Amino acid sequence: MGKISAHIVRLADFFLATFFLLLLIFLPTRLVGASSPNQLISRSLTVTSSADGLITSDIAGNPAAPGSGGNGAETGETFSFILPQTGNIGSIDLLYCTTPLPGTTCTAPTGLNTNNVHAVQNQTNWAAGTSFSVSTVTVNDIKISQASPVNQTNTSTPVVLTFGGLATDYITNPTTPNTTFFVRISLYSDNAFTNEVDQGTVASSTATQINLTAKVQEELAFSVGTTYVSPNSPTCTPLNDAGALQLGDSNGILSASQAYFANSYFRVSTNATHGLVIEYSGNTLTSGSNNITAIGTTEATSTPGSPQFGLGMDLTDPDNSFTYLTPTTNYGLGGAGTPEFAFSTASITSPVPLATSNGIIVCDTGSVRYIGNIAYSTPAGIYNTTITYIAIPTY
Amino acid sequence: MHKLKYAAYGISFTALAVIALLSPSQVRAAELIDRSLEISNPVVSATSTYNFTFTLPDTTQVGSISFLFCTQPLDAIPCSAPSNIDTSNATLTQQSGETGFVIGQQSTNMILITRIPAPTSSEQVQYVFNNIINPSTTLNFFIRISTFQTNNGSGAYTDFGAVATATTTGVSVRTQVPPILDFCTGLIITGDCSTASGYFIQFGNFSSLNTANATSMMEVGTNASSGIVITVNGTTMTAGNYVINNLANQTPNTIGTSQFGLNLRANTNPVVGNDPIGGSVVLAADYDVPNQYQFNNGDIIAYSSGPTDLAKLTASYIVNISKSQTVGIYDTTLTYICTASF
Repeated sequence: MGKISAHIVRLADFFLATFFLLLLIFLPTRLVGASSPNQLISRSLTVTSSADGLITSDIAGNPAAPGSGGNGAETGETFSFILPQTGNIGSIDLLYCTTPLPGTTCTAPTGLNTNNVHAVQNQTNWAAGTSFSVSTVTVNDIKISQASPVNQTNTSTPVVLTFGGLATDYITNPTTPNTTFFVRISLYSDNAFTNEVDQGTVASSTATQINLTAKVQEELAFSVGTTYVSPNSPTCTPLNDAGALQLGDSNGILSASQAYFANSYFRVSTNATHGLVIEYSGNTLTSGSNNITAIGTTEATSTPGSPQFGLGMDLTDPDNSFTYLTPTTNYGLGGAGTPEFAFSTASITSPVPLATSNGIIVCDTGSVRYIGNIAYSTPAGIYNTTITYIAIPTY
Repeated sequence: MHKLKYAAYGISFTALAVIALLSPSQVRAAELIDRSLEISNPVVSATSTYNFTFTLPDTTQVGSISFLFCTQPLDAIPCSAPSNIDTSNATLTQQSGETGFVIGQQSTNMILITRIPAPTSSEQVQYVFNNIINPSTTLNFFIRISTFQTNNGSGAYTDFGAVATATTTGVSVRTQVPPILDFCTGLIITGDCSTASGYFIQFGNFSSLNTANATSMMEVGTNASSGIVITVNGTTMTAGNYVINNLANQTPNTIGTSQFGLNLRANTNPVVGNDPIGGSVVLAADYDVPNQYQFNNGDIIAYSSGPTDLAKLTASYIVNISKSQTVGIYDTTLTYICTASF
């Protein structure tokens, strides 16, 4: 009997030991499996702006819209992750910290502010019936929940939550540039943020904005010549000759019985936003004390046999390419194709506008047509004048 | 450690970029508005007047304004003076808007005008400088305009803007007026000398009871500075040894008397001829009286003291015969000679 009792006692000890051994083996596993949430998969945080939370405009002072890349004070954020398991989800906590590890002390990133988050802007790929709304917010914490937990069965594609990005609903980034911050995400099976079932942390960072500044300098390219050369768009090749112009027949001789014409050119381009004026300045043709009478300041037609010297913009010349410039009154070579001319000898001291533009000029070439007529009584001689052209841009 | 190092690199790069791109003065300065420059003579190396206009963008006080002549407009780029520009003798001849300035400093490519610093009115201003010598080459160049609160151009500028202008060669127009003498004769000249036609006058049969008359025309235009002289050359009408008497002096038409003569006027006895048209030709007195006729070989019939535009002259001929005039075919050839003195 004593042997049997002893045997029973040993068996009991064996089973008890086995029980405790098995308990030691399985108990930790269960405990862990029951209290440690599963890791969210493929987690990401997309921010609308990495600018620090003090920035609302670009270097030029142009305001950046809420939710745009240049606005760090009013950003939007989109969280995306794959649920690691099926089951009820009733509430989610998004906690912004300077360190990622759950369970460790959370220090809010400097300047970060989630107090202005009022709604969940987007929630996709969740199970039907899921409808999270903002429960509470603090400066670094967004808690969302729904009235009743919904069983989530999608464990293959990311679920999405979007916040802010609006003028009245936004997240302010940390105010220190180039600062990493973390959002600790906790999913609860209940709607009271009690039974945590899944968790994961995402990281993001503010970044210093690169401000690019450049200046477009004042531009004026103005050239005058008597030989036309192609502008070679977009080069706007300048005219480049000595500016010598012979007016008359092949020997440069005028006649009392017929008019003679000749053309010179100017070419101009400018970025003057307030326009440009082309002026001419010069005397009529002179030979010592003799001169060929200027045709007058009001446009007039050619009259062979009468002394005339004048000029005008030759819009009929194919080499004339006025896109931005327009001739001034009296210098448009008349109407209905009738060449007409004018000339003011006062232009010597008070240059006279010949053509104007209201704004920039990409590349305009002007063809100026000169007329020479003489009377029989015009004294013989070699007549000369120099007409200078002046470009006056207003920036 | 790596993170700290990269952060330090980032901060350094940003700082350098900002320093490079934005000087402190640029950050503070505003841009002069509606700025333009008109130069009176853009020819290379010419002495020209430079007329600057612009609008001050704010009311900050201004004590000095500099005009710096450079080949580039940007103030961040060192100024390279246009070749041989010379503003060292420029004078400030006109100012409006903000006034009271005098030239305080100047060099070959810089003018600084100064005054006792005073607030401005954000208005359009104008400053005109004479006696600036243009660059010696054809080029586009720029003038950097800066305003300063100080009266000596010291310190950072308040406002800035550049204007552009260009030197050019100008267009030299050359032509020649040759010595001109257009002179022609004909029975009819409707326009210029190219329209002259006819040379033969047929009087028909003379009669002692009436006057035979006819006309021819001549046209002359010249730029001869000392004028022209026109002579009539030939003989009176003859038929062999028989003649119709020429009128050696001014004589009225007398029917039945042997007469051959002419004048250059519109006559009533007989009704023949026209007065001169156009030009500035003067008729010789002997041929300038209506109804008075004369003819002598080599007589000057018209002249000018200088150039004349086209003048159209009409020679009126009369022929009378007496009852004793010998039968025959009378004729003559008259030659008009125009001599110009250039």
